[in-house]
Amino acid sequence: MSSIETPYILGIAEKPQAARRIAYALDENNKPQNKRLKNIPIYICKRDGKNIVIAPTVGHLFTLSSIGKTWNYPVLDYEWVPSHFVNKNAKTKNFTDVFKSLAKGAEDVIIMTDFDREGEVIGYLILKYLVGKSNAERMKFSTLTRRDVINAFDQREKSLDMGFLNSGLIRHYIDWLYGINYSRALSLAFKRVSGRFKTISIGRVQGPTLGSVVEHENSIKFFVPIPYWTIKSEVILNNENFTAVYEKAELKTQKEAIQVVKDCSGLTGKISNVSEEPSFLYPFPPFNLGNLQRDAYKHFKFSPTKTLEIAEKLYLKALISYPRTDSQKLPMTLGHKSILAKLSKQHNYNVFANEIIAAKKYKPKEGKQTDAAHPAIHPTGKELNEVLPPDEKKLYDLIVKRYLSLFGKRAEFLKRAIQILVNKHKFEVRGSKILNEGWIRYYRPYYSISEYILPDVEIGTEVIFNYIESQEHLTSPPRRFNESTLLKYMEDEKIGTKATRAGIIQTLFDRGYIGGKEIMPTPLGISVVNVLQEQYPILVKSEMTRNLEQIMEDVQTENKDIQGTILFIKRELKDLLELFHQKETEIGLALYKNLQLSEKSDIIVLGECKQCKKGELRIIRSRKTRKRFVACSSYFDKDIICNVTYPVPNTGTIKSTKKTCIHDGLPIIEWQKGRRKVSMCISPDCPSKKEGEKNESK
Amino acid sequence: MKANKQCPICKKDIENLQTQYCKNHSKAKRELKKGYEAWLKAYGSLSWDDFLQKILNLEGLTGVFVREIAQHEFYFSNE
Ligand SMILES: [Zn+2]
Repeated sequence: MSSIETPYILGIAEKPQAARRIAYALDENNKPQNKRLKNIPIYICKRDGKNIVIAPTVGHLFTLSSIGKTWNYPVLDYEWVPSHFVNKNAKTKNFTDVFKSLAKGAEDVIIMTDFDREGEVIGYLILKYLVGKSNAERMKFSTLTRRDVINAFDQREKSLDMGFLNSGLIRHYIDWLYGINYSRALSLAFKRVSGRFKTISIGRVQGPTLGSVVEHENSIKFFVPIPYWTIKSEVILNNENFTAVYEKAELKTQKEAIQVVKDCSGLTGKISNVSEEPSFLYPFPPFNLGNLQRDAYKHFKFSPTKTLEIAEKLYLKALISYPRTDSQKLPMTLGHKSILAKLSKQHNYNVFANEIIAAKKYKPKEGKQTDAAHPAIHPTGKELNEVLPPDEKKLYDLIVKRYLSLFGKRAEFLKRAIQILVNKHKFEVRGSKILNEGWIRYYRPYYSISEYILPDVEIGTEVIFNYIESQEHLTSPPRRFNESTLLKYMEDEKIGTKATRAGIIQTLFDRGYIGGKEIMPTPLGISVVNVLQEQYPILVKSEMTRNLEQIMEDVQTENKDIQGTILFIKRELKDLLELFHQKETEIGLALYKNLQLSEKSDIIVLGECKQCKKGELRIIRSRKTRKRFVACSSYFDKDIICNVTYPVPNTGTIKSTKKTCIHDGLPIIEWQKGRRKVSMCISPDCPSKKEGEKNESK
Repeated sequence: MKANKQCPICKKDIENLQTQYCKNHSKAKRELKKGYEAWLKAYGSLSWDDFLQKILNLEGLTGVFVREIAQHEFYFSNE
């Protein structure tokens, strides 16, 4: 440490890459000194005659832990402890040590973490527990470009953002309180009845999300298709065939459908009207995180978690602005002219960027949603110094083109409709002509339109129908959620926040409550929801979590007293847990019964046993160890006692494929955990696995 | 433990002893009956058995609980 000149200003950045960018921007010669302490990169820069030492963290260095070590509930007292005390695998110890030692020479501290609730909490905890201060200066930026970082430094605040800090802290307290107490309550209820321990946990936000997935699945399970009819027809206009639509999109009865066809059969129609009207299409609003995650899923099939990860990388490369934002606003202060000028030097975008610059229209279209800290996601225009990996390239392209489209003119069409009357039934041939593609040109291939040109016709002309017929249809059940539509649903229902939603879905996958690309609840997920629905519904309904969100929001916007609020929440939780306690046996019994049923439905028959040629191979679970394995049903046959067994993964779901392995003739199973799906032979010695290992180790 | 009345379809205990089926299959039956009303209106005339047969042929559309109850009604019920 002796080699660092004291005193200095200590800068706390959220990630190593961010520390590096900030340091390069702030150093007057763009050449900060780079050192390693405990193998952590730190940067020393000079600015305004002062030394600034910038050190990174890797997210949170602290975690909440209960005071007192009983294994009961309610637990209402907690403290912040270094993460590596609780989780021995946490790689945070060195970061913690570096801040502790850098604190000694620091005369001032600037928090340089991402500007939002989490960033505020991360910085505050390091400040309080490692540096020994309770407040510090705060740099606020939305991109890691030189310009923004220097601005943020020059205009840094004298204090942390207390609204963000308090609402961030209270979020941690609430999630911890609900998480630990209900996990204990459910696991203990189950143990009381079954005598065995099984972790059953459901967080404050996971509960209602899982509840919705189960409810949605039920609406599919109880679905009864209902018939309806449509009328299809084709007419000849100027020797060309055109589809005509009937005035009613749907007919509810077969009788009516038959009547329409009967009324029109063999007759010619007459053109009764030709109408034309201009129509416009405006650009979509700028991306906030939710929109970006949905569009990236639509175009590239990226999961929301993946999109956030990639966007984070692009942000750290200073190519785009901070992605965790709700905003659809792009204020003029962002310097759109300069961003566009920079984009005009990137060869994929130069034509359109130049076109916008030539038109001198620098005001982008905006949407309605706002964010307290950041603007909508937009490119910075920073030149690409490297070839981006394919996924980053895709997302970057989507973000840039969306941004360019915001400066485009509206798209203009001319809509035409030719109305044809046959025996009092109205039909219409519809077409449209593109007059000006406007912004759509900038946004291709993410949006496109096609035109459908109609011929010139005169009112009163007779029209021949090629056919008029009725078609029977059936209503379809609702579609299952995918990750993108589930995210949208959570947004609409106000479950979770932009920063947490994707992670909550991931946790439900990881805990084995949901599975598949078309998301379905697992038997375990269904059991847990069914029991709670009946015995303790607040955990799977969205009201409670929505109320809590509101309380946290109030802490932020109205600067409500955090201590008083948390006391109120603890009191309420205590009452709720008391209610749970009174019902513990009932809940435990219901969980036990339901989980047994769901485990029973787990017994999977794989086919004939090759060893004894009598019994069948089945996947079962050991009552003692709860381990899952394949065994032969003839084990219980006194005359055979076939004791062949094969190991299978303990977690995830297993299905029989009814196929056998080409190497040893043993059954092949399909194993799925989260989004991963693998087909494999049940024998651990199967040559197919050896090949796989070899391939993997290469 | 006393022997509980079980659902003839899924063997789950029946909580409400007034009903013939478990909670899910009772609800499925209500949905099935509502569906029948709608089909009857759509076609003008349709027997219960024909309706069940049509519903059972619509794999992928008819929900599993409804399918199970329709199957049970079709083969075992003499309503
Ligand atoms: Zn049943």
